[in-house]
Amino acid sequence: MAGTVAVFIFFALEAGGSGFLSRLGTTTYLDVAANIGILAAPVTLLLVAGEFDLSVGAAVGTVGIVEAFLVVDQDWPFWAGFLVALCVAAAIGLTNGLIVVTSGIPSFLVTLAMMWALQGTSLALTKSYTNQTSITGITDASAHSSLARLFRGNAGGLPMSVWWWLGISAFAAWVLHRTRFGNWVYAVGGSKDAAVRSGVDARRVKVALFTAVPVAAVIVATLSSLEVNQADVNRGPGMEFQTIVAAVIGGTLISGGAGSPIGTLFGALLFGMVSQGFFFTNIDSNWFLTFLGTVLLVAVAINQYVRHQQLKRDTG
Amino acid sequence: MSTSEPVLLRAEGIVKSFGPVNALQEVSISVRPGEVACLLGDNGAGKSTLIKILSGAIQPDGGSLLVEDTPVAFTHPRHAIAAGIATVYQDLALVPILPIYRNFVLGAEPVKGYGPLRWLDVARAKLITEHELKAIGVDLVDASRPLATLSGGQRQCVAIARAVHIGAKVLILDEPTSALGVRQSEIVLRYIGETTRRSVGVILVTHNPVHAYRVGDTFTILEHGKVKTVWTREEVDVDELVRAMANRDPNPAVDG
Repeated sequence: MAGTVAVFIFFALEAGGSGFLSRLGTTTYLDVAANIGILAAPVTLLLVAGEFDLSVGAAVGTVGIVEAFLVVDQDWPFWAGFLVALCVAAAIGLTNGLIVVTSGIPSFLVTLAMMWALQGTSLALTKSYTNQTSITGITDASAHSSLARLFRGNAGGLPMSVWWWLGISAFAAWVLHRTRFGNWVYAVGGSKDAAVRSGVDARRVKVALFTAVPVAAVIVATLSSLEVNQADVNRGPGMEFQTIVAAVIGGTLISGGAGSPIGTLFGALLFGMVSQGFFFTNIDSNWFLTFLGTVLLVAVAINQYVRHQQLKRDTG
Repeated sequence: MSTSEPVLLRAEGIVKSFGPVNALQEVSISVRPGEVACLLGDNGAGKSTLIKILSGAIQPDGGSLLVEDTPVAFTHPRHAIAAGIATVYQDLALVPILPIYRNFVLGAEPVKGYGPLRWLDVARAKLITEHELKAIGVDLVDASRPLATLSGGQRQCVAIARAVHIGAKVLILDEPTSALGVRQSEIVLRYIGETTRRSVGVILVTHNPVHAYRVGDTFTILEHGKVKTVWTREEVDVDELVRAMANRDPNPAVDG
């Protein structure tokens, strides 16, 4: 959180005059942060439980295309297309989860395989059907849907994506900090054996979390499809790492057992400010990834130091 | 440990083989309320196999298990926990990185709320933890601190107190002192004695005869999967126990 404030001050000083602090500048980085943050909230819970999901970016592209295909090409009502997209997402997550807990193969590999399988399948099917990688017209086709209105435009001066981001982050934080399930998530990630010996069903906890992550991908896919009136299979890939980066900057331990969706919210905000703020400065934008890598390393080093201090044996 | 009390847990004639290896041959042990039954033996004597059978992790090939004189067959650790038999393992059934209170209530978290909407009662979880730990002499600065900030002995006590709090009638303690220094071991042994005052039966598994004699009421020595000797406290002194563990024949005529 302190890092997020520091980055804000840096860009406010460096790029404040060129639009970073303007209404448009603010809305732009908040929207970027929101799209990452919506995914990063459930990803945080999954990381706390000690697992990865590298397929979440590919899932965004896949479920977006499924939704647009049904609503635009098949003339389904928007809610029905949205519902099927949710089911496809849940099936993707359930598959990830069941493979991980039954085979014992690390989730890093299982979800990497899922990432390529989703990208390949959605690309091949979409291209064979439309000769393109995208389907256009979903905003027009859903113009009269009241459900679609939740994913379009502004409310209270902020993009809808920001409200989804805040709502999902708050819900994820409540689940993790204030429910029995949340305690099990922490325990499973902190020491799986200890959790199982205490009667926690570690497999069910993990499968539930694997299922929740792609469900959030439906929200991100719908928000971005309705914003530009187009679903594209290539939208999404890359976000799998951005979500992990947001969670880790926010204090989530990549080996599991610690983390919080509120920390991740600030991590996503920092990511949004860095990725947009950079282009408002006079620095050559080709340096962006170098800057991002440095910020990531510094943030993680600070988090690690703080955690080390907290875990020190009380010798008093 | 009056003999009129019912036997909480009795294992009788337990047999277990792994392929050609006879891990346990006709092994019996029992524990009454408020009693500490020590299970002694060197590495490979069959202690671990017997604990796993008592805690439902593996099934015996022969023999019987009785909980309060009712025959039981555990096919999963959950069944043993449900029957009131809790096992506290050597490497601790706790999560170092989690706050102390979240460890203490793990698996039996207090909740509040209405109908299907229930959430963690954090205030009560902290209160329970502080109260229960204070009762055993662990004074907490803050129950929200990570478990890792406690000493090894304190952590072992937290694990035992937790099992008792969740409702264990029989505690199986697997080498609770083996990784601890003298002072830390003392804390744990004192607390084991404390536990029996709540009518809990304890099966203490150890290879340290001195620690066993500090708290034990009965002593079962395993060797190569067989019961070598069974003593009650009246029948043995600490030197004899040490000698028996050192694998020399006890000689009552000399040691009197």
